Amino acid sequence: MIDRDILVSPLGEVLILLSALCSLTPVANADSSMRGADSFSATKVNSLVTTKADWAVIDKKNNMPILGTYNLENIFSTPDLMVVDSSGHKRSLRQFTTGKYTLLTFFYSHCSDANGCPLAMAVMHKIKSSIEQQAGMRDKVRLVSISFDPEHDIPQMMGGLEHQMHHHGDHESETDYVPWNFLTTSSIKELLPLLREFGQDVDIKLDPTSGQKTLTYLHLVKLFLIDEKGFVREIYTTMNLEPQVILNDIDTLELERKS
Amino acid sequence: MVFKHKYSKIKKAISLVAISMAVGIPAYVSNTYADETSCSPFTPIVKGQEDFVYVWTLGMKGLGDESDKLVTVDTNPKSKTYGKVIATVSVGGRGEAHHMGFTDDRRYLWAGALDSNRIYVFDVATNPAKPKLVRTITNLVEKTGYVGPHTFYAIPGRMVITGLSNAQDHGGKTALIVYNNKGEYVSTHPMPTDNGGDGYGYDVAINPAKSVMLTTAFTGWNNYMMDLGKLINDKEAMKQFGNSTVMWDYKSMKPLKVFDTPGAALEARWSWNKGDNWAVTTTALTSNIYVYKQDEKGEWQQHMVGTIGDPSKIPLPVDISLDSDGKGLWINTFMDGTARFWDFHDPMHPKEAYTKKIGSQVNMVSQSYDGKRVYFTTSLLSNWDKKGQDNEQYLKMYNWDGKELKLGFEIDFIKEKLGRAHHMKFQSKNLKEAVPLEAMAEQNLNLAQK
Repeated sequence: MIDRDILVSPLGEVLILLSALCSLTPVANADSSMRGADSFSATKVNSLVTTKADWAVIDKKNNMPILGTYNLENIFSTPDLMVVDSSGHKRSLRQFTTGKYTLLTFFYSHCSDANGCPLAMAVMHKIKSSIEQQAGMRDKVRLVSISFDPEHDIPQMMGGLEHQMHHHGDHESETDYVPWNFLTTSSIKELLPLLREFGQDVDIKLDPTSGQKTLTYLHLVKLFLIDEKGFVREIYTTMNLEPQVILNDIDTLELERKS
Repeated sequence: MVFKHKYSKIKKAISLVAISMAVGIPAYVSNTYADETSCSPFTPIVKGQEDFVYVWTLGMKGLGDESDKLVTVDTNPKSKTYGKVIATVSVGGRGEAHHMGFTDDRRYLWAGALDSNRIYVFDVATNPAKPKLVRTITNLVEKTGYVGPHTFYAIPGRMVITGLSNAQDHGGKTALIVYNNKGEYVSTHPMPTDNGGDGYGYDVAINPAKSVMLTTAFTGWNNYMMDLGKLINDKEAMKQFGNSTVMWDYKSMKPLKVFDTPGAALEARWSWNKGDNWAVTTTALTSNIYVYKQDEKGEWQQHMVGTIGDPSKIPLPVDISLDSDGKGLWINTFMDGTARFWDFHDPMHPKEAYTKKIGSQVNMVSQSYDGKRVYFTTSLLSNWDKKGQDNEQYLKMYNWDGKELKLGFEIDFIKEKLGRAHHMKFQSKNLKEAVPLEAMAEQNLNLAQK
């Protein structure tokens, strides 16, 4: 336990010395018109402030909180915007973000940065393989990749990727596979609100001599874990893109659904 | 024929992409960490020359427009306006402007006000030379019951905000609060008040590799808004300072362990040197340096590793800045206006290696990634800054060769009618090399319309 009296001695000296160092003249406080602390009901504030902290329960071997001892918050709701599927049909994105646990990322097929799209795809592939080994989970999970280069990543291209990624691995029947949908958009104009809603940054690299745009899209890798109701519950970047953590989080959502 | 050729190209591209996605690339986690050492490791790094420094500035009664404002200073030596103020965005009114933090994509800068509890979000990507206020969050108290938004620390898609106080009694009991990048409230995580916890909060620093975060502790609204002279003569008020630090599990955002850290530990920093596994903080009232490290059993332990100046003279250590390689630590002491460089080659036995008086008072310190440029500002809190002639308010940039600080440029914030210079953040973005997709689309649209 922390003993507040520990401070009595040093603070006694602080009082004397700071008194000597500081003027006692008061200065103007911040504008009272901008103060927000007093404008809400005491009852509501009391109920909010009296909540106590829960303590972490850690699996020391894996350095992760034990399943069932933590929650994933609702970060934001996925938007109801239009995308183009691999057959070239316009579809609502919600068809790909509800009804199952979804791992969604943005990518572009020309991406050559090993720490970029290929890294996210490799992690997704590892998750896919792992889930496909679990008979009770494989029909509850899907993967979605959305291109931010609609000019080059046309439906035909998406269809080819979908076919190859969907059927990668050795399985006895079609139902053994975790589906992986590759989506694009009909134009940059259609893509931008999607990026905005997900908070996915994208810069186009310019040629330093001509100033013309290149085929390189600079972006942070983000992988979104979405629950069956369409809420983003966790976001992974290169700093926390660990397959075991993601699998644990999917199990956390499943545990939450069952309870 | 044309179609066949196009299809064959697409097929080849599909195969290449699919191979690299499926089997060719190992799934590993990047070890690139962000710096200018207070930034979140989830935020992209500025390794080269910073182009701008943003200074979150407190309005002063009788000075200029008297309002809190974001001041942009050109820091690129090749620029014609090097060392000059090139933009200001006033937020209208004074709310005790304090600290700032970038979002995880470094496109937006969140800046807090400790008295008004407002959080201002500036777009610093569309035109980094001219930040634009795009959102003001005003529901912090309504959603959480806590006040005094202090640290803004990015995590993927969200911002972790440390509170300093609460709206119940304006004391030090507080919480960590999470908002998403759209400015929507997500969750509250109270500071522990059991197992040794005293409920106080101040700063947060996350180590993603270890999945832990360290929080420190200061004081509540009753104290930080009180005139310093009055405060130090109020014995009861002087007992109301945080005496603990807390190690948390980052994933669950739940506390793991409380440490006894007397005297209000302020800024917390992790060493990002590859292989390092320690964090550091300093205490304002007891002038000590604490290092946090795992023992052989993996248990986090706190070590008191040094004393700053002469504690009996109360130098009041304030901001710190850790070198990107973890080998040196700048510590400012407010009362004597001095910057102190500590050699941290051995973090368990650091030594003060250099001191320089920067001015009558000094608070914040930020260094470039290579450590060659060190920036200082002055304001601590509007009611704690020195009075009269000693109330110097400046931004000073020094070049550091490892032996001596040499003044590069300085801006007098009083003479420029700006206010009290507080927190600094760097930005570096050359719009000739890359443009946001959105800006490019708008540009193309404008051209098409013309």
